[in-house]
Amino acid sequence: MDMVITGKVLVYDDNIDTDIICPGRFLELNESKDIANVAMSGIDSNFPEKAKTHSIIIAGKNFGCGSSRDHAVRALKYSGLKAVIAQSFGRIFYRNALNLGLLVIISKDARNIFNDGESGKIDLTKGKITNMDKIITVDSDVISEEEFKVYEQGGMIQIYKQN
Amino acid sequence: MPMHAIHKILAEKSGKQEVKAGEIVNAKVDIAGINDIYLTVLISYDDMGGGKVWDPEKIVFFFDHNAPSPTIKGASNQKVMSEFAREQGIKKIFKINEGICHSVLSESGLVKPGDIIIITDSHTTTLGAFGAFATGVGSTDLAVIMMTGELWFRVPEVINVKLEGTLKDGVMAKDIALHMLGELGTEFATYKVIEYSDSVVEKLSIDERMVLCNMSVEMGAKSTYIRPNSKTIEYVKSRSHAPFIVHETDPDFIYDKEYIFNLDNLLPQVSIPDSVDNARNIEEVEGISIDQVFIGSCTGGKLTDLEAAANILKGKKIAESVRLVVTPSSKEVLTKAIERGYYQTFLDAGAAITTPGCGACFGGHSGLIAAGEKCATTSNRNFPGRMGSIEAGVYLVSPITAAYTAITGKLNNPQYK
Repeated sequence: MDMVITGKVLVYDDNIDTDIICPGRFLELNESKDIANVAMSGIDSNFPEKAKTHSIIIAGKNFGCGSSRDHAVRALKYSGLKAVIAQSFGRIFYRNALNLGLLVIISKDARNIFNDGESGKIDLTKGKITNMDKIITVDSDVISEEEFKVYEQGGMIQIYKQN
Repeated sequence: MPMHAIHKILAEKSGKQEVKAGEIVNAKVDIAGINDIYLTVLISYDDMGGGKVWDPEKIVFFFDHNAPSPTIKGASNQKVMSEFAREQGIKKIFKINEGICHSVLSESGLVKPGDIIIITDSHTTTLGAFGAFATGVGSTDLAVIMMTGELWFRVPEVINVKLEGTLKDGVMAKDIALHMLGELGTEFATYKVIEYSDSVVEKLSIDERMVLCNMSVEMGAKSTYIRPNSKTIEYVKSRSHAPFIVHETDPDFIYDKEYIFNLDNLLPQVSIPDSVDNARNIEEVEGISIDQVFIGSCTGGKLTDLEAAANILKGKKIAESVRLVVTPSSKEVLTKAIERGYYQTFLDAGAAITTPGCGACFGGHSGLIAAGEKCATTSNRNFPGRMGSIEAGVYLVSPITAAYTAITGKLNNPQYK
């Protein structure tokens, strides 16, 4: 995994819950492409299409609150998303993301400097997030070395596999 | 160092003398539960290498979300799980006739004070009502427990919520939870344990305590705790002969935060779309037309909930404009509700009654709502699309408010007046 990640962003509000990210009726799906097809269908039926050209979600507080379903993480990861930046995350979503290797970053200010479709740059080691179109940089929490290693290997699931 | 009872559970299960908030521990799990919608547990288990499970006696399957299965895919997932359980010698499968995991687990004597209970359902916080450390996890964490019998936890801080005063008629535990959400929001307890204490909690029935603990996950809580009293001990002993330890919180333990709610003047609450913390006094929303009333789920489908609704609906008919769906939380609730005549009351009133399970609450089946419709529900979430169309509105209410609303077709609960 790169220390610097770039991509176009999609911006969402507070409390994007797991029913929005993957509605309950789709929990019977198991194949990655099927789960990717319903990502964010509670709010945006065009998300899978948008995810082809946008690779970073930027959101407000409590992203991924609600159900324990790791379908929510799988849906975003399988859509090709590189990272989710939010002001805060639902507890189980955060844990699921670390398990499955979807990069999640906490930043209080990123939400305030981006609009849909703008280009973002995440510098993981420095804890900086930049709007490349407006050339504005804000802080994020720094990913620890341990966390970086987990992400680098594809999540806790891969580490358990090797052990 | 003074410890909370929850910390003593985590210390004991991780082989330590003491633990403190913020520390990471690897703790042994007493029960690991898998719901039927998460075949991803077995997929993750295979991804990690598969093989024999750690202890087939401690793994439980719940066929509760698709009970009975509304789709071929759902049936197929249950079939794969049944085959897996058979191959692995897992005997504890609660099939499609049994009901919702949190109800059936406590009813069957598998939850005791001091236990660590982990299920792939976020509302597992419910079981803190029995003095257990209980929390929901995703599929991969559950797969790790299946393989090793253990899971890592960050030892949580504990928030003490003191509930004082006397509840007005027509006000239930659900109203307390919605009021707390309205006051404190959806994040105040993230990563933390909520303990409920004081006079109101002491008086509440086991069912009503479960409601507080159930709704705590909507406040972000990792788990909950109610100090087991004689009611709890009696309930557990009537269902389990296994020994258990009630850990006591040290008197000089320091809580992360303390909130005191005096509930003397609390009115029935309604959380309006699309967030659980959009709580309003009933007076502010009285008269809003409702298309469907749902009485069910792990939050609002227990015996006390059905009893509260049946007492109001007895001899009454629901409004012409409304439909009423009743889903008991378990087979035991169903059986007792029949014995006590609640089923006849619901049927006479015009209700549709479904198999025990999670059905409409999670937007799966058996009572979904159309675009433009409004549903008043005793369940736990009102996110957009939670119970069907994303253009529908979900109003969270208590069973008493649900019953009055079914009669008039409009949000109301005159009992507190």
